[in-house]
Amino acid sequence: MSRLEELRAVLAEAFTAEADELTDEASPEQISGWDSLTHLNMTVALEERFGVELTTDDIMQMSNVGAIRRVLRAHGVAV
Amino acid sequence: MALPSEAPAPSYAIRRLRADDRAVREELFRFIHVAWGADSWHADRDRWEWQFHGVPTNGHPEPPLWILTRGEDILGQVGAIPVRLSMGAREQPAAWACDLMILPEYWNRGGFPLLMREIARGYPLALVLGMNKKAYALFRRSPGWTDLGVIPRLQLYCSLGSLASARTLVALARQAGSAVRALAPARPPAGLSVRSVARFSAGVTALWDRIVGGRIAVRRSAPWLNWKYAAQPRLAHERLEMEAGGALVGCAVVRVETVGPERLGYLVECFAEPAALVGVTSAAVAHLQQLGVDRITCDVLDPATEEALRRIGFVRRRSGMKFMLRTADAALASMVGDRARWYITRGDADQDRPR
Repeated sequence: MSRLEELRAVLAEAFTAEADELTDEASPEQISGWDSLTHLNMTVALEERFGVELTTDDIMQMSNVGAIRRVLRAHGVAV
Repeated sequence: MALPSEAPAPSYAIRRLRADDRAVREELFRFIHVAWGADSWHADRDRWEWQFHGVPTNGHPEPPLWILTRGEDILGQVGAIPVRLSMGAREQPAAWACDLMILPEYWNRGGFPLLMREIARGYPLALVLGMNKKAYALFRRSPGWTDLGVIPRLQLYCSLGSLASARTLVALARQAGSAVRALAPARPPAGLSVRSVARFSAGVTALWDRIVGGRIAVRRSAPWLNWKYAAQPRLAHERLEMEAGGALVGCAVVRVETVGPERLGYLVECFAEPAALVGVTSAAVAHLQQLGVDRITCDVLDPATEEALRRIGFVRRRSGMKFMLRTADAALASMVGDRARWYITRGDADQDRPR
């Protein structure tokens, strides 16, 4: 499984969504299970899965899947 | 030649407001005007100063308010009202979370739990009262929060006009006898004197400490009550002390508000020596009736006070004032998770506000 597929699996579980819904443009407006609480749960899951430590700035920057990928790449995760 | 570098995007951050943050405070009021409206209760500067700088149990040099920022912009906030709880013989620090708000365009990015995490870090016991539907749903799903149900609302109908709605009549009919008692003016018992005071006396602290017993409640000391009900801007409370045989046996806080054609009375606080509770409650209600109120509302979680109110004709009405708490301390959680021990009134948190 690639790092990107791993990311999609984490997001799908956190937001109770299908992996193929999670395009780079996907955001809370399209994913019904994506709210403030599942967003924070998702960041905890990302920290555990990829061994990164996310700041408040990182967490708030994650406005869609593409932004999540950019933040993880900045932490050296190839997604 | 080097090209000028692009300015980095401003970062998001959460921090506690500092007392000397004059410029940030102005930005905060711009945020409050957008979030709640310029004419809102939240935007009243006197009320804000009173709540965040005047609270006598803050115990910290900075105001109990955390802000979510991006660069210079404020995107969200959460406040706290630090309190000392009476818990039997001991006092327990805690805080009511209040004034939680995030601009809609930043919802769903974790701001709500991140702000609430600051309250959990700052206080060993976090309390919330009177959430809206959306916040309640989030708290219910948040790990560690215990739902202790709603605070009972009791009402007394004092005029025929206030009884006019069909729903009110149905509610009263279910609680037989109440309608008849409701319209009859309450009478304070002979031998009980009622004094309206500018500030509560030190004797009120001693009275509270005598009667609190095994209940868990914000300690109703005279300084606390005077901050809440004598120093608070915007709301006009009246403070009553009741004596029998020259001794202080009870006290109450009442206020009256006119909404459209109705004069609404609120029995905000009322506590007394157990043997005097019905008399003290009757005296406070009679005082409100003399002020010409159409109905009286009392929100209270305390079986003894509820029983006293029912005896003088109050009936239960639907309440939406939900109460939840969170602590990471397992021993404390087992004590505070018992709803039957809690004493809560409309005066707790920031629930007593204009309609």
